[in-house]
Amino acid sequence: MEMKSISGESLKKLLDAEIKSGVKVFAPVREGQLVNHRPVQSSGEICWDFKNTRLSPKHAVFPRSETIIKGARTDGGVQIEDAEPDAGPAILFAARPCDASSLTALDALFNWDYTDKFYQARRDALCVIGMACVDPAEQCFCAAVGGSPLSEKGSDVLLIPVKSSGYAAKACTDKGAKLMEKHAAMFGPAPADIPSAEEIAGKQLRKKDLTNAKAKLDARFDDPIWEAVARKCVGCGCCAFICPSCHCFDIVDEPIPVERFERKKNWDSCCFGTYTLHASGHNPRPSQERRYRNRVMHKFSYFPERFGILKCSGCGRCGAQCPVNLDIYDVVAEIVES
Amino acid sequence: MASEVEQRIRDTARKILESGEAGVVVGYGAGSTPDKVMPVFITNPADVEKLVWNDRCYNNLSLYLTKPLVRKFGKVAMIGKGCDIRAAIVLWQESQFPREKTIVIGVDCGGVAPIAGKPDDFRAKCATCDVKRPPVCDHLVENPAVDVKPATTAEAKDDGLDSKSPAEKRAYWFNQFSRCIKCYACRGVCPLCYCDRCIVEKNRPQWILTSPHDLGNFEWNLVRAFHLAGRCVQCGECTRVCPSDIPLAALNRKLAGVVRESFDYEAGRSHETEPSFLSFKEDDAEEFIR
Repeated sequence: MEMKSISGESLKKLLDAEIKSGVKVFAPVREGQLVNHRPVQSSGEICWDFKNTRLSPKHAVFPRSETIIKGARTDGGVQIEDAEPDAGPAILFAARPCDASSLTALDALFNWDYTDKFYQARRDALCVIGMACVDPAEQCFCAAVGGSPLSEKGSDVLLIPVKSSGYAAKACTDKGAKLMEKHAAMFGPAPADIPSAEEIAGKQLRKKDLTNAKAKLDARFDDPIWEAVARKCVGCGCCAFICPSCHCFDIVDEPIPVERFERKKNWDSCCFGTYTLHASGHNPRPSQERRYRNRVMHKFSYFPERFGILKCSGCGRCGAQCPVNLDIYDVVAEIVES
Repeated sequence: MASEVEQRIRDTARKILESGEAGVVVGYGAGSTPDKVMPVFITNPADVEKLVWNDRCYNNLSLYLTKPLVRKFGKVAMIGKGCDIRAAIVLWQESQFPREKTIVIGVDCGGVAPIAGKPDDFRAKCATCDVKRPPVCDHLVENPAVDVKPATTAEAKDDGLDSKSPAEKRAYWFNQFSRCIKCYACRGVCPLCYCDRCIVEKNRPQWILTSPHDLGNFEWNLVRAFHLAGRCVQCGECTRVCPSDIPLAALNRKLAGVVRESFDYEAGRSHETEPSFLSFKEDDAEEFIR
């Protein structure tokens, strides 16, 4: 679709108009040293100066906790009702291309053999405004996993900051085109100084090609390398919870005072010892190297096998935020190069 | 080019591995990006060149004394700053790993560096540090650049929490905990959170709600703080690693202060002192204990 432009001021007006019309706008907001996406009441709350957010914005479609069933004790029985997803029209503003493209992995998973209505209701109501990266962070490696700092994948509209001022703007889907048509007066002709993806990806420090790691990973399933890399893993869920494409969840029934309960769907991580623990006490992944191996295999072998796409978009959060700097880029690169 | 301290650490590690004094040396190595340092496990004397030392050696490596993938090597040599060794002392006292199987390579530490983009709360320990030279060492690596005299600031900087009313404190902590995503990085990185099955994983009954909502987050973060009362050595790792920047160390500092005032006890100071929660006296003045 045609490339256009929008000024910073017009972009704020567009977002404010959407908020005013009742659209929930998730945008990056600074709180202390943290920048994360959360619903804003005005464009004035938005943080414009960030490389990427600490947490991925996946919570816009996959919240860390949500109620899926409600129930109550009645005279002589239990009454159970379905919970409905809280899914009004929403915009995810300024998702980096790594995070926007990860939505396609979540789409595949949550519509696999069954459509997760909670995920899909939010996803259908969401318009993603991607924000291209012109200044990648040290941790970034999107180009190594087939992405690009200018990738349109997962975005409905892609904005590219340009040096002159404002943004180049491109509708990537019909949903995005409708949004741009609705605010047509705010958009002008395409700017002349749009940076190239090669130019920006060239600034990235981590460029080993990890797109075809599957065969090598599969061949080393039983290799001692897993113990060597996972020895330092502390078994927390930080990597999975900040990851834009990790999607595992735990189902728990919680008591609610009085005589009621709610069934919750909460984020879970394959690096937790209890993740595969059976009620019998048996655990098919009894040690940390097997759990960490699963994390890598799921992203670079099982998911591509099942859905034809990698489940890693190279945002680099896991390695950068990991308490012990266990970096998936280095782990996969070591195996690919072996 | 290795610094003098790095060279001493490497020489010490090499001797330990060559003589069989320990089966593994747990130390610090270069991280995945230039600003990072990560834990490394050296078993081959030829690999000691991987060991580094600088003011970004944040991890408290005593964490690994209780990990099966490290204990398998038999005797464990660990490189540590003073605060790290204090945690090892607590692990010895709580019978989690034997003193005689631990080889402590203590390194003089003048404090760790700030981290770009992270609040500085995790370094509060450095401002009041009185263990710049580790309290217990089998091998001491001196660093002439470090003045090992205790920091002159006697008291930690007032975090302003004590002067708040109970309602204000509650509001403050509910707001902080509202960002908790229950990733349990605080627990994962804590040397003293070594339970095979954490109370939050005990579900018959479910004592602590696992959902990351207000109540679940409040229960989790407070129960963890209570379980560390009289045990936490305030290495600050929980605060450093929290992806949501929750100042968890402030809870631990508060409880450590209560234990110090009530029992004149500070965890991990000495292997010989009896920990306040592991001691019992028949003539205790309190009725409830008899």
